[in-house]
Amino acid sequence: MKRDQINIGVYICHCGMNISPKVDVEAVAEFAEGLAHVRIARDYKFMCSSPGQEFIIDDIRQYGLNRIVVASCSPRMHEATFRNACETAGINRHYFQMANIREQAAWVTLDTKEATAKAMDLVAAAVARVTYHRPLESREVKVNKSILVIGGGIAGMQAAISSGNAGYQVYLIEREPSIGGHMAKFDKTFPTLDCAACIMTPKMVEVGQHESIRLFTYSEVVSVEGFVGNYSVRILKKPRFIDESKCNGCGICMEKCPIKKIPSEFNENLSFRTAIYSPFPQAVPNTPVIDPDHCRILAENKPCGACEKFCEAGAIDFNQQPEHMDITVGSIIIATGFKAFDPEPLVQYGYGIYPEVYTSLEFERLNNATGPTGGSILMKGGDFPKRVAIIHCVGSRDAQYREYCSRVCCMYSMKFAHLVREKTGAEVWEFYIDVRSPGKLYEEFYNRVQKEGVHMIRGRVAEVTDILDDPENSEDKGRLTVVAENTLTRRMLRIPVDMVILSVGLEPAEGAGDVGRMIGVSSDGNGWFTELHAKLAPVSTVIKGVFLAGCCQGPKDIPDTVAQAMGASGEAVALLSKGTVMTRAEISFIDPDLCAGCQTCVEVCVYNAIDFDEGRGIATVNELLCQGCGSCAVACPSSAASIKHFTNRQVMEELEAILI
Amino acid sequence: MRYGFFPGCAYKTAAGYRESVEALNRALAIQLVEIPDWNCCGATAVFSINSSVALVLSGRLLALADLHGFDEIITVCNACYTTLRKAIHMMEHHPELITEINKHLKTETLQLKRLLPVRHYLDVLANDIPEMRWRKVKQSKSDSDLRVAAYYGCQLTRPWKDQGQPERPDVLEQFLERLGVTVIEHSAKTLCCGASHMIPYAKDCAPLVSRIIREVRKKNGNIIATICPMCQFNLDAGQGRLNIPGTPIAFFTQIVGLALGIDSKDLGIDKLLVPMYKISDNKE
Repeated sequence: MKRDQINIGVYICHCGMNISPKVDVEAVAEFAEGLAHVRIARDYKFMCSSPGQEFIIDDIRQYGLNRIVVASCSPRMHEATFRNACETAGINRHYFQMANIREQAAWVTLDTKEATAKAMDLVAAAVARVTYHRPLESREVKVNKSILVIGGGIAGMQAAISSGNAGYQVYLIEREPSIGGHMAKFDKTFPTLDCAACIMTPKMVEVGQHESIRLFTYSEVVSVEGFVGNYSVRILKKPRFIDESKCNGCGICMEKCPIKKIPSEFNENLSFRTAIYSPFPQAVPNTPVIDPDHCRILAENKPCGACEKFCEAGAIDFNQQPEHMDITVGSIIIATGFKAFDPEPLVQYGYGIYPEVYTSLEFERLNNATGPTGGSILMKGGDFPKRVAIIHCVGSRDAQYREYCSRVCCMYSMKFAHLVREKTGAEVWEFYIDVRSPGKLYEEFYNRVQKEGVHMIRGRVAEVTDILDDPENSEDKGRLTVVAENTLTRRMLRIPVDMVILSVGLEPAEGAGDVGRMIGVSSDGNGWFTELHAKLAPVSTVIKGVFLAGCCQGPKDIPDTVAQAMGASGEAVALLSKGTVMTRAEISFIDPDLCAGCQTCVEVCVYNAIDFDEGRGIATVNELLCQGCGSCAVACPSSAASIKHFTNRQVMEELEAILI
Repeated sequence: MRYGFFPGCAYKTAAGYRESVEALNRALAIQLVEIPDWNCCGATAVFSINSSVALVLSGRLLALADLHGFDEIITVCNACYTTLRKAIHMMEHHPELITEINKHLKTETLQLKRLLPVRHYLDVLANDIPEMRWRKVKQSKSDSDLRVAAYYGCQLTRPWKDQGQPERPDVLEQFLERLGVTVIEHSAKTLCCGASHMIPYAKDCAPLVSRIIREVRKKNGNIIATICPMCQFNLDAGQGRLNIPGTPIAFFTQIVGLALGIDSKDLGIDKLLVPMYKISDNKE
């Protein structure tokens, strides 16, 4: 294309009051008009608005513009908007360049003159670059109509059910022996106090029996490759040492196993399990697993085989090996959940020092009908507590640990208070910073608990100690003292109690970071996965086709988790239902005339997108796999590899316009 | 390593602190050279009234130590320790303070050029002395019936968080156990001794002392090891008002000295108000 045919239109956006008046937009427009090949330059209040786009479309048609530059916000915001406008007017969508004069100039510069000068530089660079743009096309490719869900807690289960109900093949991966996650450990749920098991187990059964859901428990995702619509996923199935097809879940093996003193993870180490075990009676699937670290045969190579001897189905298989399974999916929903904050570093609360200090999850089990005490709230000695303290915000809202509010603790703490009152009649003190009960029927529950006689004390607890103020008082012998200031009455309190419950905050699940790295989803400073947009794309991620559900994105309660899981499922289904997705146009191109066949690019490509053509002795790009990262273009010693839309020429022209 | 020793105001008059520190220095060949012409650290009082004056006090000390070629400043008192570290912390975060301080130091032709590390003598004993030297000095297996409760007071571990767990530390216990001393675990390690309130508000401070002593006795300790002259004084003298059996309050250096087999007379143990009869008897 000859240079003299290039007609550029430049549009400077005011962005309401965001860019103008910090940037003198009229001066920038005037400046742009003087740049080479610029046919027309305008400024307008909102370029992204419908009349703004009309300007572009009309000008293209009227003045025969064939290149468009918009100086406004970040391309992540509106690049697609303006590219669509170009296409509507009949020019290729890649004949467009955006100059970000909002985030990169107006918002970050104090001085108006400096901001205007920088905006001019950025516009000049965009104009210089767009001159060398080439028309590019993306291709439509078929998608695989199946969905991978990582994590089998309530979020993953709901996402799987919703997607499965829409008729899509779902693969649900859970690393524990059973699905159910944290919710399976709860007895009652706030604020309605409905039984968690009653609403949970039917869902677990539904997942287990759903014709569209393939369940992989005791399994982990080990690699994810590919792109939206076509992800290749490798799953590691850990050996259960039990043939799932033969086991009928009778449970005799667990009765007969002689190794009975292993702390039960499901019961938060408050009871014991056997070496062959199922985490809880309602587990799905109800096939047990053999713990290879404790089984006499597997761990110590000593004679035993009690389970094998009694298993009528002949399901025990000590030779089972880890298996790898490869599946292809069109979309991925991450639902890796959370872990409870470990309060041990906060030694002032005495967790791990005093036996009657519990975490909230331990209390959940203590209170659970299937828990170690059958649902009786008992102390370790077997007595009912008479005085109970509940400490809010342990690990949360604390600059030394987690700065954020974990959102669920106030409500579950008040649930605990209610249950303690109801089941034991004990006196309960809740120590809070602020009570946060923003949810349907939540404030009402707060009021109800207060009416039930729970002492609400506004004050962060200083310490829990076994030092009593009045050691001669035999009533208090063996009790713990909770030291705090009641900041409403401005009085120091030292309250002797029998039991302390630490309402620990929420943290990202162990291994969530690895899952994120594998897929390419980023996390915030606390490790929660980052959504594409905090308000308008809360279940999407920067990776197209990958969605978030539940606590992996940030602490949330069960209603919010279920809603988000349904949302993530809806997005995944919407993406796949069309049947096709567009490929990236900005991908690598290897010039066959320049390629020397050294294969450096093949080595550096992390997406395995470059093949070596033995016959011709050159490298070729797989356009479906290439993500346009540019590694090959940098590594190629003969400059044969380049990235479309980021060619050396385009980038150098852009730089030169800024620097010179 | 040249240790610049900052004794602080209470060291020489405290019950046997100087004697026991000097005995350990002799036994372990530790060179603690007193910083010439040292001044008051200002403690918490000056900082709370006028922090720029307090900074000059700390700044002068730091400048003196540097002038005399020391590498580190060693204190034996929690208040000195935290006051100096607090001053350094402020100067590091607001370098303009150093310019201000230097204006005042100029009259003495002193200049603050670098901020030397400040360490507690406990840290030096526990971490700088090679195991070999301890073994050489320790004469015999100690067979004392001491069951020592380590008591840290307020200002060694907090707010720094780098001398072990700040709320329930165990650096002193670990160190004493290495020397064969029997230590007990208890919950009063960092409780308040009353500090300078002991003088104007003696009555209000009595329960504080009582709480610490009773906790130690409840956990079966029979002596408390302190690392700060103020703690030692408050707990030792404060027991006079209480109606509970006396519990000796020793400096940790005295306990270390006994563990090494140093004569209790050389450790100034006879200066403690609540006496350690049993130990003295054993020795003689």
